Amino acid sequence: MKNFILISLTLLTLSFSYSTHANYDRNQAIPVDKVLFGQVVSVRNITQEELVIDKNSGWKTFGGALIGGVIGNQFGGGSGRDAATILGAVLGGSIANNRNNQPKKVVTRLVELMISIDNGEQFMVIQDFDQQMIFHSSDKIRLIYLANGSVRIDKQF
Amino acid sequence: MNKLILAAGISLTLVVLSGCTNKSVVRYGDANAVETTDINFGSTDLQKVAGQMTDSLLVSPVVGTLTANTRPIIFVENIKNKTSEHIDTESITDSISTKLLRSGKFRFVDMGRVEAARQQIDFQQNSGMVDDSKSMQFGKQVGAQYMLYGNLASIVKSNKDQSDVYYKFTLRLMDLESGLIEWADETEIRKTKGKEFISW
Repeated sequence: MKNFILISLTLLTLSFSYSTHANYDRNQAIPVDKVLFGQVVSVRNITQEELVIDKNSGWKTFGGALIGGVIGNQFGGGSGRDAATILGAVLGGSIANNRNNQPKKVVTRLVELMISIDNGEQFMVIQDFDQQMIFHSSDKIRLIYLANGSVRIDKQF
Repeated sequence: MNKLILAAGISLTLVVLSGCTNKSVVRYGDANAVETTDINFGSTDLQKVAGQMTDSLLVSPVVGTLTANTRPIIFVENIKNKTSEHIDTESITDSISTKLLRSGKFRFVDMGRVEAARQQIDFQQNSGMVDDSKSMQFGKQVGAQYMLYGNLASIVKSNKDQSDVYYKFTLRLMDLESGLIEWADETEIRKTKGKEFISW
């Protein structure tokens, strides 16, 4: 009986944690530093596991973009910096804080967006996968730099 | 006997409690009523912004001159949303353009429906199902003379007792040929949320 309860609890925990993704509260008035406008060039759904693998292989390329700087710092000890790479708001639990504590099967769903800003600049942004806002190529977006230091991509409409 | 009274009491209590449960109730309300559900951009703000901007544009002496002998054709560019909120700015421009159209002083072209219009004319021209003498022709559309565009920005400040949101909505009318700004105006909204002490 004890074993049955233990197995059930384990399965329940895994089923809750396996598809962790966060829904942003996008209708909240909070301070903003600046907003840039542009469109999505490409979208790729990624997982925390991929990020960890990438970290272990020395932050080489990730979806065609160099990952360093912000993400490197998030994981503590990344190498290389690329000003055009931004780690957006990751709500599904801080990757840096939780990566060692969570079971290996936990998958945090993230989305990697290549963004082309109206002035021609390009950014690679990684943020939480949000079922309320699925991105596609050519979607018009806003790159929002919030005053709390985080960055978020929203659709314009 | 006591058991019977106890059972009756419990039954009565259950009936009373079941009558107190929460129920979802749907009601119709006044679409123009002031909405203060929270401090974020809401329906009252949208109505206020659209109403004030339309009134300002229609009473402007410059616009009076522009519309004296003709109904200028306007193209509405999307409002740039510079706030943290995901606001349907198209809804603001829809309200403004609808009010301006109803004034009878302006005409509009809808860039959001260009592809649908192209498909319809293409169908009329090439499907073989429409009488040639009655089908619409390519190349007959009229170009916009003016562009209406704007920004919505916000400043948010808060502490543990109070939150303050200031919205500024700016709208401009540009002559597409000369590039001149013929009209501009802005409207402001300030909303605060604080704790209130309830007194009897």
